[in-house]
Amino acid sequence: MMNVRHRIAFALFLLLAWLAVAGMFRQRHSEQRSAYLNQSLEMQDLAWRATVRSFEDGLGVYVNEYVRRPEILDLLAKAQVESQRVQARVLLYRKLSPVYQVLRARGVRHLHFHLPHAVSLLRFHTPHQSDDTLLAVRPSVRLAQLHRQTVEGFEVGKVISGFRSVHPLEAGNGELLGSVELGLPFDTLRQAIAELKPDSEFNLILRRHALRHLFDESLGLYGPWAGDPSAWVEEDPRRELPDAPPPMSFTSRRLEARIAEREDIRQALELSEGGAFKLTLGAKAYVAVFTPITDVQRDLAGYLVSYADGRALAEQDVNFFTNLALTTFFVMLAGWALYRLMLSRSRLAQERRQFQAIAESMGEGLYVTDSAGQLTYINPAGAALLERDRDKLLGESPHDSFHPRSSGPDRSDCPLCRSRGPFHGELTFVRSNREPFVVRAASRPLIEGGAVRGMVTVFEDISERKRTEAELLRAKESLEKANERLKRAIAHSNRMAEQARNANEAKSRFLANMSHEIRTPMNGIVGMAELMLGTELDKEQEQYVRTMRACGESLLSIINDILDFSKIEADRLVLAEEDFNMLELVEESADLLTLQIGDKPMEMISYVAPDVPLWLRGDPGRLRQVLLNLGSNAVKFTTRGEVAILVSLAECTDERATVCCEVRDTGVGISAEQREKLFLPFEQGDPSSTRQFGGTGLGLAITRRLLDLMGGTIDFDSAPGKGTIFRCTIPLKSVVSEDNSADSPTLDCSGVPMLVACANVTQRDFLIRRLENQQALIRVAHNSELVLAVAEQARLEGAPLRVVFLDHDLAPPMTVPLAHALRRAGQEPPPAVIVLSRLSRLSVAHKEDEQPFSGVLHKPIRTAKLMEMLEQVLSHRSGLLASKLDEDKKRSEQDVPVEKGRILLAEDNPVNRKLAMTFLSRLGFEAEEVENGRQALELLGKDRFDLVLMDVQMPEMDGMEATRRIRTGQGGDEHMDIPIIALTAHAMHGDRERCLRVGMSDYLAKPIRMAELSDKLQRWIQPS
Amino acid sequence: MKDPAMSHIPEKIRRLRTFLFLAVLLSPSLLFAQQTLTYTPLPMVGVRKVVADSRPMLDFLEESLGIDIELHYEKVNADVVRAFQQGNIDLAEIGPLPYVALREMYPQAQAVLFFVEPDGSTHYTCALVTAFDGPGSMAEVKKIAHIPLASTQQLSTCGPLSTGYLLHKHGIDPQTVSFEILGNHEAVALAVIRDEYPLGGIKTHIARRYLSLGLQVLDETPPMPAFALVVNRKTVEAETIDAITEALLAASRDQRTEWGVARRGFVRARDDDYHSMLRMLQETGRRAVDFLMKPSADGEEQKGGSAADGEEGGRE
Repeated sequence: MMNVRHRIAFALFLLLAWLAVAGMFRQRHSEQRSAYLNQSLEMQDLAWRATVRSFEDGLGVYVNEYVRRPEILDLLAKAQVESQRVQARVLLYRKLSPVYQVLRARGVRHLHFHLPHAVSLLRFHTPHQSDDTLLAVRPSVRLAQLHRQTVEGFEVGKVISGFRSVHPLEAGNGELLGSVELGLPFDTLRQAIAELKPDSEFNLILRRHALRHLFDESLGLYGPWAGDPSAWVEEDPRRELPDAPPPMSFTSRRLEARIAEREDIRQALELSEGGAFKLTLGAKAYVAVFTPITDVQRDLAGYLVSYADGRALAEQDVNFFTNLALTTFFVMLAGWALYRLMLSRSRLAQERRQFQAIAESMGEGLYVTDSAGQLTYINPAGAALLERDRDKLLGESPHDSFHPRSSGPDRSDCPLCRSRGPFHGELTFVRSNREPFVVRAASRPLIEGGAVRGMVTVFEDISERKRTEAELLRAKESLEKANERLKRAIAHSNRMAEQARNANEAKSRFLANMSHEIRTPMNGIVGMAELMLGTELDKEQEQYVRTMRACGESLLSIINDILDFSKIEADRLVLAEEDFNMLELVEESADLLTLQIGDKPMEMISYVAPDVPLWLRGDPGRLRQVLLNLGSNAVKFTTRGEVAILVSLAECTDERATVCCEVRDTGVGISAEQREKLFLPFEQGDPSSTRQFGGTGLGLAITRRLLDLMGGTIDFDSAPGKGTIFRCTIPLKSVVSEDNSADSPTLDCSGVPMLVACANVTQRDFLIRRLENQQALIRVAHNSELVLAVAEQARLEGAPLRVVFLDHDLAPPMTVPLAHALRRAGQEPPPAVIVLSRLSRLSVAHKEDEQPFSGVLHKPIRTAKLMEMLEQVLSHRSGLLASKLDEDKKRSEQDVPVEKGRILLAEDNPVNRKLAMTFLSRLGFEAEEVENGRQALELLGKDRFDLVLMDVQMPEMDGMEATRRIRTGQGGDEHMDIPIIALTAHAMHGDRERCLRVGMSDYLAKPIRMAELSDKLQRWIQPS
Repeated sequence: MKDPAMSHIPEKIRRLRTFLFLAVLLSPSLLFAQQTLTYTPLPMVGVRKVVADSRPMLDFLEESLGIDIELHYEKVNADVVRAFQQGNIDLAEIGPLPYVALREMYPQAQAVLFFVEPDGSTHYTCALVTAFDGPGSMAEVKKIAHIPLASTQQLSTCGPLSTGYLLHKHGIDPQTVSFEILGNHEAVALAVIRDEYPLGGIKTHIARRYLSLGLQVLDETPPMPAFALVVNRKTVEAETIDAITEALLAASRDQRTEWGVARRGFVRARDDDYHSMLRMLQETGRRAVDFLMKPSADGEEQKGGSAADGEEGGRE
């Protein structure tokens, strides 16, 4: 491509070319204009001279006819004598006055007689002016008298300017008598020349200097010339004289004003050059011609000026600009064409360079042959592949040098020659050492004007590639064989995987069925064992039976874990999503774990931070399972101390609430070696622990899988002998409800003084937190000795205690005495004493006849119970409450039902039916039994019951369907809201929620234990 | 209603334009520039001389006052008087007799300035002239039975009034004289020189210029007021009259160097200056208007050719 420098050079060339042509046109235009103007000048000069000449000839005739007569000459001779001069002048005037009138009529203005020595004798145009000498001001007179010959020319004179013809006058003896002069005014000549140039307007301008000899009275006839007022004047510019020419036209006056702007014209006039000039008025052109007028001494006196239309000049201008425009157009056109041509050539050259660069640098060989088949070009790579000298190859035929064929000279067997068009294929070339090698060649004919002018061929040595391809082919074949084997192996694997999946599903189905089938007889075994414990047994028998019940429960737990894990592994676990009360869930879990503690000297504690939303949305069953698994582990591996469940809020938005659940224990702890495999299935921290503590080792693995499913995390802190803290975060959905906190158990205890006397630090702290959340004023007693002292101090400080929480474990024997002491300490009213007690240890408390307690709270403390009791205590109903609580506890401890009620038991298994009926009987309930749901519906329709114990899996109509029908009124309208407690061997987690969803009120997993059954019945059967 | 075409002109430009308009309107010089006055020179002078003599003075007035002055030539005094009456003339150079006649008929004519004579006075005399070979004295004249007398114009001061006065002074009854009206003083002088008339009446000062051609002065009248610049108060505003008067009086000698007429300046004219003229009329028993003849048609008054044909003027 053309670079910038070339483009600038080209543009300059074009500009110069245009300037040259334009200059030529301009020169020609200037010459034409000059020629025209010169012609105008010459024509005017010629006309002027001809006019003057004609008038001068006429004046000579007048002199000869009227003046050179004897009587006139006699008068002149008489005038030579001064004393006779006046008389001679008068007579001369009288004689020639008629002649002067004739001459005036013919355009002559001056008739002037002179005496010798150029003294004026008589001016017919001003007769009273005479006797003045004209030597200085009238050279014509002087010359005429001096040379005695006629002198003609323009002179201004003393009176008026004009063209004069001075003739010497002599007497017959040759004596000079003087001279006579005839003069013509300018207008006379103007009229004559105007006949010769009718298209022009004339004016006469005179040098201001030429007026220097005029009489003063004549000066007023002259005015400045508009073209150059300082140097030139004109006669009678207003044309006020009677013989004045017509006034100048408006156009001519404008042209004179334009001349005033032309310095060149003024200079030319000043230099006596005259000339013709182009003038313009608007778009019109005019010609001003100045013909110099000289006096008799050949000095410039003035100019004859003419103004004429310059149409020819205008046409010349039009021609010039037309030619210039056409030239410009053609120069630009030629330039454009030339530019395109140069651009094309530049591109061509660049393409050639590119082609050469490509050809020289490409790895493939390339050669070009002409129409005769001879090499005209071969690139270095081609020569190298052929191992030949490039220069020597040029001019040779490829067929002769490196592509020999065995056939004849027509080369009909050469595919290159046969193709007559583009060719792609493989050929065999030979190197200089005659070694053949295979090339992949591509050839294309070079076609010009429809004829093939040569060929261009690109070739690549593919002999190496051919060898590689052969090897690849062999490798491919072996690969295909291996691939075939692999496919067969994959198919085999797939079949095996399918079989494994089928086996796994079968296993799951088997486990599920086995769960139910094992649980049912186990229910009978455990139940019967529990019944047996209620009979009279010796210590050894009792120990056997307890072991049997423990083994049964352990076996059920193992079965539950295995079933859960199987379900998770089979990806069949689907998380539920429903609203649940977090506080209740945690405290229920703690209650269940308390049962597991048994007689261990340890506390079960739960605490939910007040900022945790009461209601959340998620899978409560699986969350409970997580807490129970972690709690069970904690209880299992803790022999004394405490297990605490703490729930706090990790993060909360309008849509989500992430809760953090910590399960702390003071157990054996976990060593560093055990941490790695802690969450692996069927693994326990210490294999020996399995033997010590039992279990399948699936609990933590299931917990972790459940948390993964819920999007949560789990980790732990632990050290051997220092207990363990499991910490898990569980993302849950917030429940958008305005009354979310409405169910929250709260009580305004602002400013109420209370004492917490608690043995366990954690228990005490969480109780204090709960109370402080209600704005209570808390005092603390760490041991039993401080209780009374603190109470006394409070009284003395003017804030006597109103409530005292007295932990039964602080000093069990001192609980009742301390309570009495507090009541009798003299404080009025005495503080209400609330005893904190584990259920199993309360029996000591109510053996006293007089109860000093306002109430008993079971540990772990349930918040709702705490608030309820505080409300009653603070409203002075402590006595009634105490008696009621005592009565409740007495019933519980003695397994005596608080209130009797009619219970309908639906159970298909006869053993379980019998077991349940025995429990109910022992618990003091009146019960009816049926074998399936249909019978239950029928019986409900006939009789009234207070509660239904409903087995889930029954023939004819299962418990689910029967429950749905009861809720729709098919069991009688009075039973639509009857409590229904599920009894099921479907102990898989999630079964509880399914039962609740169909309308059941509660859930009791088989094997049924009497204590659990008692709790459920007490909960759901309202006292009559 | 506002002109939409003007709405695009900025307010400042409109104000400036209004100011310029008022400035132009109030400028005295530009006020005069709107006027064109008509000046009539002395018809007793040849046309060429009239133009040559009058134009420099008129140019001076035009330049000083910013007015245009046209030169309107009348051939005879009677026509000047009539044109003046008709309001066709604003300014005129008029001799004493035509002025008195004009004033009798047209009081708005007012002589404001006298043209100073060559001798520096504001008076001149008229002479009774003859050729070098004509009557040598008034006594010889008296012998001539019938006297053809070349006269300038009927209403010329040096015309029949003055020549009749001089003849009457020498006991010659003017009734016996045949007054031939030739137009101007030069024509009268040259006609007498050519011996076409034995007597002629012209200004004394002009008669003396023709001494080189043998012209002789037989007698001359008492002094009479010089030619005056007469203004038409009906057609020219008083302010303009004052401006013209003051400008001409203020013209310096240098400014008047190239003037023909009024080269020697002006003197303010008064009506009292015409008493001598009135006395001459009184002595001849004539009224000025008696010399006012009917309108001429191209020099009807003249006998010896029109004043326009005269080569020389007759004023000086």
